[in-house]
Parts: sequence; C-alpha cells; structure tokens
Amino acid sequence: MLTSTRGSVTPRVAARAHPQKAVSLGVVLLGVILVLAVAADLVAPGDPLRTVGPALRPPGPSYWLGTDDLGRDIFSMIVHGARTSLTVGAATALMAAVIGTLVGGISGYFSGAIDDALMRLTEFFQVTPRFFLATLAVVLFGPKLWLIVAVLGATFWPGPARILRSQVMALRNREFVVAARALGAPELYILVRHILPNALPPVVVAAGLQVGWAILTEASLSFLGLGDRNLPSWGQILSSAQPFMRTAWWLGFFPGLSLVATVFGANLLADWLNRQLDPRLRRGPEELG
Amino acid sequence: MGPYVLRRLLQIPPVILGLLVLNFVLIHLAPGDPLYFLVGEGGDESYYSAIRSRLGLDRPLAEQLVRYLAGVATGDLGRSIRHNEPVISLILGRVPATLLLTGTALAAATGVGVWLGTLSAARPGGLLDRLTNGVASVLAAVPSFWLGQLLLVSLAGWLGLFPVQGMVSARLASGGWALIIDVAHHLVLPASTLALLQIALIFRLTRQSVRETLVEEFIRTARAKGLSPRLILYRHALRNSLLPVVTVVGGHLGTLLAGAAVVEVVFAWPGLGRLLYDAILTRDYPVVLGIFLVVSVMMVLANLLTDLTYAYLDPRVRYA
Repeated sequence: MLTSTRGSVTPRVAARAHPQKAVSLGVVLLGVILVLAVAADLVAPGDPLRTVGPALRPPGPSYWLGTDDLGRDIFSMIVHGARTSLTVGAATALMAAVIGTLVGGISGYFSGAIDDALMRLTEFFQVTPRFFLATLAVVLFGPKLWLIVAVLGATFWPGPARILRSQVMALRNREFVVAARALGAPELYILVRHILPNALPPVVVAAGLQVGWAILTEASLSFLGLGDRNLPSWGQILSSAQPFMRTAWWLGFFPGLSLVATVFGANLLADWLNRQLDPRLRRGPEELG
Repeated sequence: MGPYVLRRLLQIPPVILGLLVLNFVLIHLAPGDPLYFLVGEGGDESYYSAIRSRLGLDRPLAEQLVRYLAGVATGDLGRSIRHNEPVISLILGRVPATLLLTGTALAAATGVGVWLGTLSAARPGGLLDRLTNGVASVLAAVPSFWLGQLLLVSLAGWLGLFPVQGMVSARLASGGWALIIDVAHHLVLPASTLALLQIALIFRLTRQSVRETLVEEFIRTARAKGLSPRLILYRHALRNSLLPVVTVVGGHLGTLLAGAAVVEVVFAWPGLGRLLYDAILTRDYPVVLGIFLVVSVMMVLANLLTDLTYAYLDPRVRYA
C-alpha cells in the first residue's frame, strides 16, 4: 500500500521539468491517499486507536508498519488518519474560499467606505498569527477538529479575498459589465452572473495552494498535543513518536512520509491549475548566457 | 516618505487594540469561568471569590475590558499559574533564544534562496533549475518537525556529528569563546531545519520574480548595449526582482515563528515555542495568552518594517 507514497521521493526531479508528468504524479499521490481515506474501514477494519499487539514492534508481516508505544497498529492509524488530514485540508480551503469570495467580491465591487472597512478587516486577519491563534483557541475551547478547521478557515481567507478584490476591480468597468448595467440589470445580478465567473479562477488556485498549508498546520498543532484526541491523526502519531525517535524510527517515519506525499500531491495539482489559468507562465524568458 | 510613514504608523494602534479585544472576547467566550484560565483550577470557593473581587471579575464586562487594556498597556500580562512569575518576564526571558534561532535560519535561507533562485532563473530548464526546483517543491511539503526529527536521528544520533538537544552542554559552565562555539554547535541542526523550509519558499519566489524581470524591455536594452550576462543578471535583473521577495519574506514571519515553535520542541531549544509547549501541557493559560499577544505584536511590527522597507526601495509605493 505504501509503495506508491514511497515512490514519490524518486521521480520528483524529472517530474518538475515535465508539467504533464508532474500533474500525473499529483493525481496518483492524492488519489491513493483519497482511496485509503474513503475505504479506511475496508483496508484496515476496526478501531485504529485500540491496542492490537505488543508495544514498539518494528515493521513486519503481522504489523506492516509496526506498532506504537501503546501497541496500536501504525498502518491502521495512518489509513484512518488520512481522513483527518484530507478533511482539514478540504474544509479549510473551502471555508477560506467562501469567506474570501464574499469579502473580496463585495469589497471590489462596491468600493468606497465598505471597501475601506473590509480591507482593514482583511489586513487585521492577515497580521494575526494563525498558528498561535489556533493554539490559543484549542487551549481555551478544547481540542475539537471542527474548531481547528474554523480557526484556520477564519485566518486563511485574506489571501483569496485580496486576489478576488483586485480581479473584480479590474472587471467592473469592462464593456460587457457596463453593457449589462445599461440594460438595467440589478447590481447583485451583475456581480454574480457577469463578474464572479470571470474573477473566480485565481481564487480557486489560491484556495488549492492552501490545502497543503492547512494540512501541515493541523499536523503541527497535533504535534504540540492540540489535536482531536478521539481521531487518529498523522501529527499525533509524530507527537507520540518524539520520545522514541532514536529507538523506534518507524513510529515517526511513516506518518511523516504520508504527510509529505499528501501535501506534495496537493501542491502539484494546485501548481498545474495555476499554469492552466495563467498563460504567462507557459512562456519562458529569453535565455541568458 | 514622511506622510507615508505617518499614515502607516497610524494604522498600528487599531490593529493592536483589535488583537487585545479578540483576546479578551476569546477568554470570555470559552466554556467555564474565566477565573480558571487566570489562576488555575482546583482552589476552593472562598479563594475564588477573593480573587474574583481582587481582579474585578465581578464587575461589568465593559469595565473588565478597560481594566484588561490598562493592565496590558503597563506590561501586565498576568502571572503564570505554574511558575508563579509575571508572564511578561517569562516570555522576555525566552525571546533571545528564539530570535537567535529564527534570525540565523532567516539569514541563511535568504542568502542561499536568493542565490539559487537567481542562478536557476538565468537558465530555465537547465540542470540546476530542474534539480533545485524539484527539491524545493518537495521541501515545501515537508512538516518542519518531521524534518527536524529526521536530521536529529541521522546526523546527531547515528553519526554523532551534533549534540542531540538543548542549547548548551551541561558540563560547559564557562563563558567566552567556548560557550559561543558550544551554542553555535547546538544551533546548527535546528537552524538548518528551519532554514531548509524557508529556502524552498525564498528560492521559488526569487526564481519566479527574476524570470519575470528577464523578459522586460530594459534587459533587452542592456543586452543590446553589450553588457556581460553576469552584470545583467545581478545588477539589472536581481535588483529589480527583490521587491516581491522582501514583501513576502517579511509577511512570513508568522510562518517562521510557528515553524520555530515546533522545531524548538523537537530539539528542546529553550525559546518561546518550548515555553508554549510546556504551558499547553500544564494548562498554564496566562502564558499561552501572553505568547499569542507578544507574537501578534511582533508580526504587526514586522509588517510595518516590511512596508517601510518596500516604500524606501520603491518610491511608487509612497505616493500610491
């Protein structure tokens, strides 16, 4: 099962130079993780957090990736942990995209006082250190997955919002918009039907790049002991691996590799999307030398 | 430059006020009596009621907010439940170690990242470009603490090249050069861990920015004038490409500090991150609150500094 994730380390160099191969690699990596997450109960049946055997057993035929200090099966925890990581990544990016679209769209279209107020709010959330805010929120409210997603989503939106705002500002005086206005179309209708469809693609790319960031941030929080205790998560396995780093390498190695594979796959796909939508990147500069 | 600086400075107080109010609201929204967050759990009722009236927690919320703001303004961030020391002195005691770690990492990462980015951009699709680009995109996906664990186990554990954890060796109590060398030796692994991840970011930014500059008209003019490719690359292209790099690196202080927090835990580096980790484990709420505030203020100041640098380097910003 892990051969495909492990394979990610070798073909990367060649992959970057050939965009088509890069996106295939991204699809394969994310696809494998996604299948594992969806079919977790079939691939590794039973509660992943139960004790199944002796503690700290190295990888072998009975425990493919070994067991942890409580005798739990690492393979099972990784398979089920994929759900946690993918949920956090997707939910955070979605929330950031939705809030960013609302704020950026309104801000860019209506300008004036509304724009000023919304941009101050955006700047405020941009300087708020999201990792430390999430730390504080989890310490005060308790370790819940929805809370982590809510805090990350609430701090990831300024990027998409600013991108959308500048897109909308550029579009709002274009001929087709002026034409729609001259025909008497309501402002909201113009914004939703004419401007947003043209302005949204870069926001999708920005949100796509945030999937990886969100997954890494959740892993860091779990590493500090702030993850949801009732859910298996890669960051949590890495956290419990910390005292055994030098005696039981498999505890930290495999969950770390899964994180790299997932985030790398997500970034490759986002990069590909970016290239599709930005023709300037397809053209190389004149070579020097 | 003057009016711009003034306008930019005037934006600071509302942001700081907003952060303080956010902090205050979070404490009061959290389930349970805010008193527990301030002095800890497990006391008896008479103790709590005494504290409640002493801290003014029986007063209306608006009055509490004013008292809280006044307290923070005078440097009072409360007392640590575990250490029974003022939070502000605990935090200030840890700031130098974190600054040493992040400063070293950022300096190394900027140097290496800008250099590699420029070289790669000069020959897009070349061997160096493909290699560095591949490595950087994988590094961008690596969690800092995992990279730290890998470096620690391999270089410090198996090969024994570096000390495993901490900032100084216990047996070395003396000062002077021996101490400096000892600290530097301990610094190599955590700083490299942090720097490697920053290099990935700075490299990609520089590469992109230089590539975009190299298609500009003035580069063609410089080539037509017969200037050497080296001179064009470093004097003309790189200089004009550094602005976006400065902005993004300045805006990434939060990521850098968050990375430092987990790396400090891996290497038992006695900085803010380690303090935060201990405070989380012992439910030392005032310390967690204090660290959030201090890091927020650091970010606001870093943003100010970035914007001022940008305005200084690019006159167009000042008059926008």
